[in-house]
Amino acid sequence: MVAHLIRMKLAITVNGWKKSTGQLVLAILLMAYLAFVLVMLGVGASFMPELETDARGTILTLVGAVAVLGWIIVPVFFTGVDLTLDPANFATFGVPSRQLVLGLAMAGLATIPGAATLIGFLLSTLAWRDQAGPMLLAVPTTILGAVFCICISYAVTGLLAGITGQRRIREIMSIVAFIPLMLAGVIFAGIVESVEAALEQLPGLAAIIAWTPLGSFTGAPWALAEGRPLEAMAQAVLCLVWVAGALWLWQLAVNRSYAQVRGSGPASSKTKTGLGLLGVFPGTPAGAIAARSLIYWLKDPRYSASLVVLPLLLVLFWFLGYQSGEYVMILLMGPITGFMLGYSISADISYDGSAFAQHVTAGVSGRDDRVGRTGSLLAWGIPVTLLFTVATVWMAAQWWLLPGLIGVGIGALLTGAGVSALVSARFIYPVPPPGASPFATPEGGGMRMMLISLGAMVVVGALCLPGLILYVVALATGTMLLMWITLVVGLGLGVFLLWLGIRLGAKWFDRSQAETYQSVLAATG
Amino acid sequence: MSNPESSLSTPFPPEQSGAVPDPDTALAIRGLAKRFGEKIAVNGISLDVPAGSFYGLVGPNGAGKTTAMSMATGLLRPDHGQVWIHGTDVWSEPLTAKRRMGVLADGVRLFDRLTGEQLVTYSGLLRGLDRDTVAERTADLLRVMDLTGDAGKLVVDYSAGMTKKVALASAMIHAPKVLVLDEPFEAVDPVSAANIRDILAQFVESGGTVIVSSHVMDLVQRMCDHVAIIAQGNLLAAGTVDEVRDGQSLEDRFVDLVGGRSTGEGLSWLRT
Repeated sequence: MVAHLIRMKLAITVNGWKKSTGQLVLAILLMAYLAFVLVMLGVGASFMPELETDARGTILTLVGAVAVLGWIIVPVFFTGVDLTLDPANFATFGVPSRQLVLGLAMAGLATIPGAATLIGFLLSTLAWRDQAGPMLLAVPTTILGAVFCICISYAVTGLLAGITGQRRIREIMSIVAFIPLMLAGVIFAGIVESVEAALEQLPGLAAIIAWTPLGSFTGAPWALAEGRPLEAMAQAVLCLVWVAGALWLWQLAVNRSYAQVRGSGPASSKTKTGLGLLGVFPGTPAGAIAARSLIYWLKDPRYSASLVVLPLLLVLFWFLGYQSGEYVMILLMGPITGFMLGYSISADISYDGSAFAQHVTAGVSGRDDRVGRTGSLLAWGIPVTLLFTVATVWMAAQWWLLPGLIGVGIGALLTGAGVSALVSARFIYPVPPPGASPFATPEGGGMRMMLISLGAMVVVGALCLPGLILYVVALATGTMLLMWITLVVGLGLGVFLLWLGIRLGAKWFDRSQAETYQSVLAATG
Repeated sequence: MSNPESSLSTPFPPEQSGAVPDPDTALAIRGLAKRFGEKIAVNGISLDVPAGSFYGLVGPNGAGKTTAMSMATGLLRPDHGQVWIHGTDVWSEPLTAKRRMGVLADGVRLFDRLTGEQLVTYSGLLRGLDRDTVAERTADLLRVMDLTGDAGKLVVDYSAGMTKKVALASAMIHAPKVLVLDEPFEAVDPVSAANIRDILAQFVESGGTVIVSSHVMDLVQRMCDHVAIIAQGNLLAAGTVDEVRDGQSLEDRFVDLVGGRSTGEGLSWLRT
């Protein structure tokens, strides 16, 4: 059973590489990177006997804690990391859950991140190479640590999957949970007054963490090295307890997912009446497409997730201004908002997935498709960009900049929308499928996606340059007239590029509808 | 296996390049072919579907049914061959041809963050119908599909059968002349299936043409008046159901033509 699962996991990985060279290249890069990190870790650990016992223990415990925490947190955001070995898939085979858990744990160690964690933990034992006792103790506890990482990670995702089975809750959570992570820096800076004070706290903190599941695995040898064998023994026993606990939680999750497979029924949902936005927009093909896009902006977390960074940036810039007393950075908000919103629809058809078939079989014209999609964005994108621009100018109390900033911001929005209208007509890249975590990395994404989106970004940036340069000159020379010229140039150029993008995009769309659809099918299924 | 061609009249005229078929032929296919890498999915199929017929397309899994239908409906560009809907070439005049067609593609997603009512309305508006017509037809379609009670639910929360029905409603709202339906009865409960069959039969009676793919032979024999059998990308037989089944049941005839029945030996250990 265990051997089967490991072999299957390896076969799946290798088949993935065979299927696409890009994935293979990415996997090789990942492995090279991990190998590099591991070598650095090994070298670092083998030099650590130079350090005081106290410092060594603190560093090892904290690094170990970060590794464990990583295994708990990361899979929550990247659901679908390892769906091939989802226990639910094995429900029909009637494998006893205890055996299955054991097999999955071993298979987990056979993955690239699993193996890297195991090797990393083992390399950390080199830090005690000058003392036989702690080194001998460190080997079993660190192995347990790696096993714990795998088990707790599966347990947490499994249990969360149970709670978050309802679509809406899962969708909201995947976005909300992302926010504190992005704001962590600000929060941390706010809490800790100075770096020195924080550093002084660390050994004490590490000593406490060593009694928790986060730190026991690397903390036990530390206690022994400090000459506290009883404490060390207690922490070593705790290691076993933590692993047993994680296994128990995991089995609970597996049992639950078995039960869910047996009794899965359609979830009930609220019903609402009427056409909603479809009744508000014009009753034309383009109007319908605009209404549908807007409904998706509201209901599909993949769209809103791309914008979650905007309010966060606002908070971050405000915080920086608050600290320094100069609200300068915050003035970037308007242009950044325009740029990001304009660019945000560059994967619109990719997000449709195979539902795009409806547009193809209905014979929607490229013009209607392009106008509808960009129209829905501009309908709220222009007010939002304006709002952000005016609000930040008000915060910075620099009213004379307003015309220039509007020219740059709205210009970037229109230019981005124009480039998106062209790019999204034909270039399809893998995106998370509807219903998946918006932060999930889609299978086989990789290079192509990065290249296209990077290319489109560079193009948008280049096309925005005239307005931007005018604005900088106006700012440097303090000429009000130049600010007004920036406004006119930014808007004029934006409108022209939008018109051009829609026109060319529509032509492209009409000529290659079937090919575009087949790419979508291949990319998202 | 007997040679299928010998027992059947050729159901279509010999291929003539450039000749536009009779506009009374609902769907005309000439020399349609598609290759995916090494695999030839559709190997030069020619077929005439007369207007007003209820045409069944049957074949084993992976026979090329979906590929052929995708090429006929403008979803997949053929390597060779031509397709006409009532005399309009699908690939040179796509907008006109698509206006005459209602399509239910198999296994594709819908815009499932819309409610059932929104989705059908969306489909109608995409087709350029005016708002009043769309509203009237949406209500009608939801009623006959027995979806009125769930009209306000998101399609993502629909069951498989309900999803099929709402997709079918979306394919019919513009009153097409030809309906091309890929596996329309899959996952649909018997009562809904019977209702859908009635709707399709009415549609045919009033002069419309329905082309369905299925691998339920029994259903095709009862429901359709014409049938074509496809296997491994080739057209094995085509004509009226009676012509094709040649006195046998359609299922037996199908197995005859397609082959691949094992002889009943096999799982000797499967005994209790």
